[in-house]
Amino acid sequence: MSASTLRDALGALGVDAAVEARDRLALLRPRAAADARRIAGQRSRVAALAAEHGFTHVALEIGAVATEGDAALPRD
Amino acid sequence: MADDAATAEARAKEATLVAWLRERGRVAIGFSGGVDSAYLACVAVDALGAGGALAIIGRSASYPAAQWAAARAVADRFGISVLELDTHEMEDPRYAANPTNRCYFCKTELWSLLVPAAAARGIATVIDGTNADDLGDHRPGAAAAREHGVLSPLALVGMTKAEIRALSRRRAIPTWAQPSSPCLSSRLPYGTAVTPARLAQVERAEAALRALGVEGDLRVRHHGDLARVELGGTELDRWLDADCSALVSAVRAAGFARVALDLRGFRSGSLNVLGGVTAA
Repeated sequence: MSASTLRDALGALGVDAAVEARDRLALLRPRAAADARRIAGQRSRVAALAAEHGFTHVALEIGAVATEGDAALPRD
Repeated sequence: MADDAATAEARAKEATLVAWLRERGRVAIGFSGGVDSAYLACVAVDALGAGGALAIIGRSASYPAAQWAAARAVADRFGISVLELDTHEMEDPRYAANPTNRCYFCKTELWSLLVPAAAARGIATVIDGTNADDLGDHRPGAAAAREHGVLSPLALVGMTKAEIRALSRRRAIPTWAQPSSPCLSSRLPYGTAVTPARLAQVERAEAALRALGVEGDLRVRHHGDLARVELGGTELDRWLDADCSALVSAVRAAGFARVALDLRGFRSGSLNVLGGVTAA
């Protein structure tokens, strides 16, 4: 599992989001509301991408936005 | 037509179930008020009369209050006698450590109380709501049932969850469309200690989301400071398109600092996947 490579792959979809790895859960924190909408609009594709990067679960954090300091956050 | 054939097959299984129950004379049912045990209890009362079936509820912090209320409502409506017992699985460190076979310790506690309680009332046959679909799942609690001589007639007659729902609907049992409702501990990843405080957080969050109008399958998975919310497909689409501020506020008020929507939505046994557990 790699939070940073998943983040890069999301970037190729036009999504700017921090990726926090919690074991096999990828937690996506969008940079802006537009990124959250892009994730929501292509959630199946995002889930497939996460699986390709070794994550069994992927979730979109709501009520929060990423800051410069947490582009990729391997937590575990 | 295929639907009619399925219904006829389900009704045939129900007839077999009724005959099986009548051979037992009296039964005690491990009763949670979920889809399976509610159906089983209703059929048992129908087959054996009110004096022939006793539904026993095991109550603890892992049993949601809303589930208890639903169980009592079904019992009242269908004339099912109920006995309630307090269970103490939380006090068992093997359970509280939340290993992948956690359910074994819970069910051991449940049946070790329930079977003698039934025997004390002259009931030799204790049954549960395990159905045919359950047999392929990761269900360590089934071993505890076997060890205590608990029988699973729905599985014995090959009845599936879909058939139980269809037959429940025919009997106007309100649980027919109810989402599956495993205990609250199933919201905690394996290895995360089960505590009353964590279970209460989950229960508050799920109740708050129901109050917001969330319908169908719903799980609030507890990841420490984070609540990962799993919704059924329609609800997930609805909330992904909506302003989620009310949802966030509701979950935060339950004690979670962060809230996330799972992009794959509700998955039964989701934490089994996360924990690397496959069907036994």
